[in-house]
Amino acid sequence: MYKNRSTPLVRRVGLVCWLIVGLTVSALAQQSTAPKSATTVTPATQRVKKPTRPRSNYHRVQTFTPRSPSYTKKGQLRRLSPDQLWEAQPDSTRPDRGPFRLLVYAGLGASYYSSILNSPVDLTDKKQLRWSIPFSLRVMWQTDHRLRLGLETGYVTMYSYQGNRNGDLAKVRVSATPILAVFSMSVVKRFALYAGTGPYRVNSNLSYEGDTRGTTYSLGWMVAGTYTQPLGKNIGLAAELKWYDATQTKDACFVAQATLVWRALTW
Amino acid sequence: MRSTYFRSTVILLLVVWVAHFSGGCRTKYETAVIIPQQADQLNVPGTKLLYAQTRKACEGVYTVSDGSDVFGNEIAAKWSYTAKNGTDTTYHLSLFCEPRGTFFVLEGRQVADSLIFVGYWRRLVNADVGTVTFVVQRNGAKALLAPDCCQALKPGDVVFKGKWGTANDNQINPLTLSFNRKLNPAPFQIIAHRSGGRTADLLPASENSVEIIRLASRLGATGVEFDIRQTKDGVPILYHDDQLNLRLTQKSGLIGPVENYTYKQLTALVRLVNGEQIPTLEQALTAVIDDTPLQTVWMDSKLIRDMSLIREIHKKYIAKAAAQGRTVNIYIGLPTETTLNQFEALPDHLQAPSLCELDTAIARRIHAKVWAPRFTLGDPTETAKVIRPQGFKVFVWTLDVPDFIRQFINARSLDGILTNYSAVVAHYHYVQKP
Repeated sequence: MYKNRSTPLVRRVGLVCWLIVGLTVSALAQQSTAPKSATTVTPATQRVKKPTRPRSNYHRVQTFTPRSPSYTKKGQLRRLSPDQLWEAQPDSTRPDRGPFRLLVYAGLGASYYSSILNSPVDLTDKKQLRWSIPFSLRVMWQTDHRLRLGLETGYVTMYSYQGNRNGDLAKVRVSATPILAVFSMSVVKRFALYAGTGPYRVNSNLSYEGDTRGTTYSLGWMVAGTYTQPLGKNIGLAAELKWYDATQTKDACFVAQATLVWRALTW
Repeated sequence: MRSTYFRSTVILLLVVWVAHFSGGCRTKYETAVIIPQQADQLNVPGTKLLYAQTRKACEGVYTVSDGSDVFGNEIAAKWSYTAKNGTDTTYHLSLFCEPRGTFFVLEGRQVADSLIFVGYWRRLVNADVGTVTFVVQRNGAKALLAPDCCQALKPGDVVFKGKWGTANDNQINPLTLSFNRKLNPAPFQIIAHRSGGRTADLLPASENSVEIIRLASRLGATGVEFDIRQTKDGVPILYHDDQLNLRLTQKSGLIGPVENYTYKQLTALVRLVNGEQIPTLEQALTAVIDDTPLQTVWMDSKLIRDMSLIREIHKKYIAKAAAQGRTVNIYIGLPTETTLNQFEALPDHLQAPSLCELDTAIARRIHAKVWAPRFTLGDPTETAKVIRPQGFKVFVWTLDVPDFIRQFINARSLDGILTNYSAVVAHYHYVQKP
């Protein structure tokens, strides 16, 4: 006996439409990137910088001409983000790839539990708290193309509540540790989007008639956006807005945090 | 500038798409189907409760004329009851149809020289629901109200003329039932899975709750199977999954194995998805014996630490049923080698009514009353033909596909079927001609 309970067709059509429109506009945006630089110096003198200490063949293979994808037909330099510069390279299968970087992000901020929170039983003197101070740690591999990938973990208290039940005080606290595979892309200068998926380790702590701890794993996802301000050669500070969603346990929170960005390795 | 505009549009679209996607994936069907209530129409001056012999005479197989395209050609009508506090008893007439697990639950009254039945219908395979009203007049009512109405009715003696509607429409569609023959009298157990039905089928009560036990017979069940675990402090409770989760409970912040929590913690802070408490084994058995006409209880041992405690409760409620003159067969289910070993460690295990899901040699060794094979492990029909003459009953589990249910019932080689769709099994069993 099958269940005739599928998601309405209109929602699926809507999803596909949004995807098509998004990709189309994205493609248009790529094509319509207008030349911004008024620099009229010859591209060769501007582009070829002698590296003080070359770590790979990345710089040496760049033989730009005025018709290179990084230049306009008039020979003016296109202003591209570092990730977009990768497009100037004609072949992603070339043997001398690079540079690669390992970036470490450590964040601290505030979170707000955004899902429905109702204790299923009536508690007297009930108090519930949706705010908490989360921290996160993310390690990203910055490749020589747009997409970065990495891992994210951390700790966030989703919510807590307390109240009297049958004359005794009951306290419940639920926290989560994300263990997520994260992908990111720099969309404009210093601004990057992140999306991740994986399990959340969800913990509960009950204090009522003794202390009891429980743990389960909940599949989920996250999205985030960061704006990074460089502070030094290998360090920066990012403002980050993030949505954690542990789907199976229906726990979700919005996170705003300051993130320290450290370029740990380059090769 | 133009580039920035395009990029912002892309980002905005991406964010909207993610938001839309996250909302679009959520199922609409997370809460129980709301059953329309219209029984208040019956509780008006001038109506009388039906006599026992009238109720008895209503039972039978009816031929459907108007409405057969929706509800099938034949409907089985069967009464059940629910008692509250041991005194307030409500009788329900359930109608079981063939298409899509459809059933009706009605209450009836006598109004002057007519009978009136009102209630609801529901399809178990989806969320379709609606109301219905039947009237039995003239000769049909006379036949049911006559002092000798328990005598066999002839085909066409009683006609239920009704109108049905959906959840949104008034009752404008005709439905006519004409008495055809008596129900199949062969003894057969229709055992409802998880105490009556699954939460996933959006029933008005949660699975493994006292409330679903009280509902089970209205859905066609003659018995229930429930899942037993023990809390941290050893209390046997009804709970299926190994974790407290949102499939079975409302969000409470308590997660992890149910065995980690004491019974007091669970009753204080946890509620099943439709708001009920997690019941103890004793509360469930009390409901079966005191409140319902159910005849069979299959206690499926999910995770038991103290089998001797289960056996003590088992004995206590067998005695309670006997003291009330009720015929209720209560079996300790043995699904695994672990529970089998625990059971065999009991000094009186050979006298304890048990249900063995393992092979027939083990069933013989422990003197099980029932052998219960899983139907997906092979057709048990031939084995059943051998083992039934030796005094064993054979229940097969868990059958939900109508074609398989019909096939097993037609084979007449089983004593019962465990199912999530009691109404479907009830239909095929009761309309079967002896």
